[in-house]
Amino acid sequence: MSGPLYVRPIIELNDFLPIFVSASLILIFGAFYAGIVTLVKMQKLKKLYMFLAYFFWILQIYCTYFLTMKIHSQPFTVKAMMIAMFAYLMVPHIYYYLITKSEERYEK
Amino acid sequence: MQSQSNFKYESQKLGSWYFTVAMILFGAQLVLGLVAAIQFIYPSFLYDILDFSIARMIHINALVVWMLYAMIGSVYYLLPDETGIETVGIGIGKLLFWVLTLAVTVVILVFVFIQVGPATQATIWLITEGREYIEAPRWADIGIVVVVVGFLINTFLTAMKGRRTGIMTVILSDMIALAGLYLAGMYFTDNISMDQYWWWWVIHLWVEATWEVMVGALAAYALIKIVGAKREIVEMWLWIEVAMLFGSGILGLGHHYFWIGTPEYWWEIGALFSSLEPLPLIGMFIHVLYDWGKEKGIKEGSGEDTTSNNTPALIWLISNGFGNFLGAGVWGFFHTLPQVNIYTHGTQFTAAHGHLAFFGAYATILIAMFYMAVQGKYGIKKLRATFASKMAIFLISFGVLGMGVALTIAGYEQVLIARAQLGATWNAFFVAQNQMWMSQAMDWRLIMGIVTTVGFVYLVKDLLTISKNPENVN
Repeated sequence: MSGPLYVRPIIELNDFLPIFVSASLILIFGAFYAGIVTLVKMQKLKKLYMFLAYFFWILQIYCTYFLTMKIHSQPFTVKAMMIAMFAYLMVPHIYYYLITKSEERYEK
Repeated sequence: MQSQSNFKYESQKLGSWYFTVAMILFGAQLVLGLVAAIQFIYPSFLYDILDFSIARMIHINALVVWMLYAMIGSVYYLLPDETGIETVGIGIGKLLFWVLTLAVTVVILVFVFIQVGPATQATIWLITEGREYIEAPRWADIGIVVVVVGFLINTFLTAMKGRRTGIMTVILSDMIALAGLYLAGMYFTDNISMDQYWWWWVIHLWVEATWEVMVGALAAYALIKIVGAKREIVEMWLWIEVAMLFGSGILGLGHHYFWIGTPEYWWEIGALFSSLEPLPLIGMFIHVLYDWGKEKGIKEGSGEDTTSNNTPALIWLISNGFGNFLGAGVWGFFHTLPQVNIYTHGTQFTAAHGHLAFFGAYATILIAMFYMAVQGKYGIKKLRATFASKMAIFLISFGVLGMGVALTIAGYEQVLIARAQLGATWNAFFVAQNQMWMSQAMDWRLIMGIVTTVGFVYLVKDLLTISKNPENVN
């Protein structure tokens, strides 16, 4: 006979709220990170505030890790999520590099 | 007062016709939504006259159809602007508009007055196909395909003859996918898993791929027109967004395949690509803010007037960036992973996400297009927001957000009681339905629905009268 039927991951009753909140915070912190980078690039904020942007990115990583633990993700998924977070670190920089190059070409 | 139409092209006039019907259907959506919300609290309301299932069906179908009308209208509206020429075959375009509108009217009347039929082919052909969200009977399905094919031919011939911009290229490619996917919803099989498998191609691949791309293209067009953003920059953003939207949205389809009998590998695919889906939404949000702020900064630097040439449209456009991120992104992400979704699937969480996402991602940008059409129709150089414009945006946004929060609370209660504690049984469902948190959430949903409807009345008033505002008379 095969093993027991895997019906669903057991999530503690008290864990549901932290799961929903941490999942939301991943995106909200992610938006703060990208938003602050944008404002710095637009020179609406001083470069000093990039520190704050990276702080939000770290919070985002923490929330991602916290969420993967709470929902009992497979070790491979946890690693994939962490790699995705590092990729996200690069995304705004790639965006603005492309914009700068595009604007330079446009000005010409 | 200016009553003369200032549209330079017949295509823009046709676009405004589509917008008008879209607004009427938007109103129908809200009225039927209120009926369904009242029936949730007072089940005997309109008993034996208009069943909850019918009210809900028309509420959702009206939503889908008004948005499609507004999208087709938007394409007809921007087509001459982008290509520099009148739409090819505009006469056929107008004929197809009347055919489609007549068909939609007949379908709605059948939904309201006949409602259901016996389990025969005749019902599928003449009354309803019974597929959630796209219940239109088979004859209407075929009619819709004919109309859309005609629309595609019009737009393609125009784009081939006129100027081809990046925005137009994206729209044309997107329209093929959007129209083609509808065919997947016409495929019928007796196997319910297979049926759902194909049916999701219409719903998911519309709202999380092709419609989002359409929104990106409309936002790009609006940014150029409203804030004077540079086309090259805007189109570069657009291509990146399209790549990200299709890259994540197509396989994000997996989150609908978790529990319908498909192989388990969809769990990993759905989880991974669903996690990536918020990325382009963050990108779009930042994009709108960046372009708006940058153009404002440039104008400030050169001492120019920094106000946009269409304030109501700009406000709705900014709401789109924010609402898309919040409704589709945040509310979508927190219940999309399979470990969580097994508890949240089919609860009021889904309804909360649906309300916030459709409003934030689509309604906002389409309303912005309505204001652009009003500006074009009356030839107003600078369209300023009136009291009604502000009331409309405040009440509609507040109302929809309120409904979203109320439904989220109800969904959370269902997850804890019906799913986690009592094990998702039939009895558990009813125990959860009778909890105070659920009933009060439904009360608040109705109240917020009324707030939204009042906002809609202000919106209609504003669209009809904003051109008469002394500040907007050229």
